[in-house]
Amino acid sequence: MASLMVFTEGTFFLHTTYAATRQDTVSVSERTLQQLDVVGSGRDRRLSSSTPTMKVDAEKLKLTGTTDISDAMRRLPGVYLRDYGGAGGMKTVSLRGLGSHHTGVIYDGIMLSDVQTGQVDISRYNLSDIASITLNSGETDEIFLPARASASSSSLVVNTFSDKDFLNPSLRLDARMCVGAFGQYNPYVRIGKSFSERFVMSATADFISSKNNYPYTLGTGSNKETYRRENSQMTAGKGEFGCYWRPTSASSLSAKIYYFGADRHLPGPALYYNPKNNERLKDENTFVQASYRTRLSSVISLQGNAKFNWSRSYYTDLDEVYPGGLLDRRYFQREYYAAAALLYTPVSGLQLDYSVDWFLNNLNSNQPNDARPYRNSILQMIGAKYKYKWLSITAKALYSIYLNRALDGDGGKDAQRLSPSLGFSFQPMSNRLLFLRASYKNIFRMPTFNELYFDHYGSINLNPEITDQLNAGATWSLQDRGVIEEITVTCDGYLNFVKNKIVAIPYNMFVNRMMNLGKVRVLGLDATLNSTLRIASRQRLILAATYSLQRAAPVTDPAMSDWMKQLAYVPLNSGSGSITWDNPWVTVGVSASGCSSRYTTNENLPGTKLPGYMELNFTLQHTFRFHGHSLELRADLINALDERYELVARYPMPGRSWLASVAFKL
Amino acid sequence: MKNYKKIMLPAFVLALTLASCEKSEEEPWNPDAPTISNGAYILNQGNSYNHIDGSLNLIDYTASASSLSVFKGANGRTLGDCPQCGVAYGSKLYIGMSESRTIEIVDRSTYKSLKQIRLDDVKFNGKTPRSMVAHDGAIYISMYEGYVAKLDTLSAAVSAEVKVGPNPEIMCLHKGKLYVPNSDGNNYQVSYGKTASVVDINSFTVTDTFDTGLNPYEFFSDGNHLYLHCRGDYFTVPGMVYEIGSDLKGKEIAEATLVGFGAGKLYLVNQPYPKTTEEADYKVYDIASGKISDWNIERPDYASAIAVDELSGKLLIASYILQTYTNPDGSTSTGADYNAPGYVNLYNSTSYDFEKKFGIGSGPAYIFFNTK
Repeated sequence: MASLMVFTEGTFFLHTTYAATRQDTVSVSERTLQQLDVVGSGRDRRLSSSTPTMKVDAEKLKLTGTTDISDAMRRLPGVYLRDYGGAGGMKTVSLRGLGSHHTGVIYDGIMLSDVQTGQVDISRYNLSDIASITLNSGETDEIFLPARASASSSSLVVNTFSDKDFLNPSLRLDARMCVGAFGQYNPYVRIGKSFSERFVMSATADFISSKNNYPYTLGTGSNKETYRRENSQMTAGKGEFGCYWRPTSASSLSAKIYYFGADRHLPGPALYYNPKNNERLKDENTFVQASYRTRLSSVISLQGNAKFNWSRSYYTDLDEVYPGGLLDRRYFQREYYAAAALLYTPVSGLQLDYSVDWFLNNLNSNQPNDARPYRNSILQMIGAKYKYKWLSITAKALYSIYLNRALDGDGGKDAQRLSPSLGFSFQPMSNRLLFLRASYKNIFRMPTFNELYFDHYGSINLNPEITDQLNAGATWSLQDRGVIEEITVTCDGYLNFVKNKIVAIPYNMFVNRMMNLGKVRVLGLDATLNSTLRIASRQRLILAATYSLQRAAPVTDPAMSDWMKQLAYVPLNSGSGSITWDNPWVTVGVSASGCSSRYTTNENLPGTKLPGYMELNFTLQHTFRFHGHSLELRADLINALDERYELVARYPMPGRSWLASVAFKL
Repeated sequence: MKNYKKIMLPAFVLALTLASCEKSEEEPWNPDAPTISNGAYILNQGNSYNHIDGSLNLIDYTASASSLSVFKGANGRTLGDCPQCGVAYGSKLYIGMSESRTIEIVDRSTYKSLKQIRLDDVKFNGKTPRSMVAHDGAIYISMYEGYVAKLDTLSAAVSAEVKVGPNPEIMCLHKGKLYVPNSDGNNYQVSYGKTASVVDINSFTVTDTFDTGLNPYEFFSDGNHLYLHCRGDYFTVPGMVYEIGSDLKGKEIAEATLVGFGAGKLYLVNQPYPKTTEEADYKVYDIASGKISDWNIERPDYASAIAVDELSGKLLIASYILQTYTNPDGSTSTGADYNAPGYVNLYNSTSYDFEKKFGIGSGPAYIFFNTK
């Protein structure tokens, strides 16, 4: 591992990994360094992190019986997944009452963007492909990162398997087939070949198709209507080709080409007496990206990243109420991205970073009043991190410049802001893995292009929506003590503020206008427990639990009817739990996730309450090993109690369903 | 994008006032010539995306009381998503739901559903009810797909339809013809419509199409005069009321964003954004004299519908409640709260004296009368 850096103090060391946001592999060097304690592995760096950082890797996703990305999200504290239901339903991640626009998604080291909607639909990510998912609530402690990684309130870091994993001179194959209820088929294949110890290439193909015609009920009691989701079928495919080259022991270059396409029929909101719908959405996204890392000297490292991203969405609604019987909206987006970061380690324990990112986004459409907007963004960050035995301090300042223009109209307002963050972590007793932490982060989100330019809806006068996040908490871990392989407990309290919140205000019954109006205050608590117990030879019990309390209150104006009510779509209580019995025969897992009731309106109007729910899943799995190959069999029973619930009003979630998969690894 | 469809949907689904009832001097039980009215029905559109059900509500003048959700009370199930239009005719109520794409035929005394027509199962093209006119044993329904359907009240089935312009709004019957405003509202990004269609009720064919102001929305007739409210584009072109002559040419009367009609008068509310209710113009146009005067009436918070019950001498204004906002610059502004439960004010239709306020559910958008 080229960029591993060990501080002489020994208690702490950190590594800036090949891809700076990756923290997934425990290197050989680390293993050899396990001595008085094990601080330094990925897990323990999260323990000593100054901000809450939850990470699940592929192994844990598998062991805990996680079925898909939305299941993984629901097992993270403070997350509310806005899920439109089923395999084709859009899924966006809101964290700690801040709304999904504030959650940045970093995919294989580079931030994804959708300037049109400002949200990333995570439904496209298949767990087969995911090496790790990390959720940072606030600013991460890592500093050798692109500036853009600091440009959102929280970040969801999705890393797929690295080509580097294939760096041994052989051919590798991972082939899977997953079938499920409601006509779901998901074949997946990944193949890798190394040509030397310095160069490897891999290719991935992933395809999913689903009818999604699950039954649902609308209403309660004598008002209950039962239907099946119609017009809900979807197909999607992904192809990736990547290579990894290590020209010298101190530098590496990785590059990939990515394509994703989906053709989704949208069932629309569930309406009484009318299950028919003719909407359809065809998405395509392709990108090429490259990352270069090098250690220029023993104290200076450099990284460079570049990406070109293109996406389009075709939305149609065949309905005679539209001109010509068809609503046809086509949008095209491009992003050009370049970034560099320099890390300087003048003395042991102190790291300094300067990062600069530039990106250009544009959007055009087939719409009659298309302004053809574009935005130049220049972000610069300076960061400093200091570690001394029992103390770790990270301070960053992000200076953002956003320049909004439009080719065929007026551009939105420009923005220039300085956004500071500060975090520290403190270990009171050197022989105990107990850490206390506190952090502050100020950041903002730019208005999306829809909010700025959408016809009869957007407003070019919008200002950024600003957030302040305060967090204080403790983490504690006990490791390798008798039957206990590990127990880790985290507990954090937080206070978030949103101001200049961008909200749609009815201009009249016919037209909405976007305005910077709302203020929100969120007071919350997140607690997690992760434990692995060695109950017998080759048998383990793996326990995981999360609990979140979120009191999110609109505090714009006491005269407003939503004053101090609970923010729409934020549950007061939510949580998850899982128990897995890992054994040589059949590994058995049970998991549950759920939340209390939520309102669909900020005013908490009667009748707008979505009831709470609890979803219960069971997993059975077994791996056969032979001649260095493996064959994994797995079966899942999802929502075993057939709970009928909604995460977005009028978009019912599937009831009881099943999944079965077989995976072969060569 | 789905979001934008949702946001834009209310733009096309507001119903305003009573479609005119043709009067004739025949026997007292003729449903086309009612002689009694003892109450008003209020259709609430609710908001399906927020799980606020639409509902049928009744205001009983004699009991001076309101009954909420009478359909759900009698049938145990919801009326449907986005009730849009309704009419009382003979012993039944006919109610059209634009999102559920249904027509409920309801017994007037028990409120039991006699029949639910799911328009997706009907062989005709019109699926989305927008407005209703009852006449001579038939209910005429403008359908947002660009049709006027004829529902035969004896067979309780759609028996015919005629193609009109795009997105027909609230029509009325005038001298044996249906006047249908074609708003082309779903084409707003290019332009709202500027035409109206004339459907001869006997031949059930379009006999004329004529030019109107921008975004024609609602026709009114007193039997002799024909009026048209055009809503403009909500930004630069103001809403305008026209008198339509026998040559189908329009003559401007006054700007208005909301119009009520009855008892020989047009009630004109002009409250373009961002005017407050205090700043709005409340005027009355007298048909006989052709004069406009101030309308001195206790104003509701934010009027959503005005209807006049000539038989009982009542005037009703449905209203949203107000929401106050503090702007980023510290100033305050107000606007209608489209989710919160609204109300209906009852007035004397000649003196405009306020009589009573009735709490009604969310989105009170359409008023029709319990006439017999």
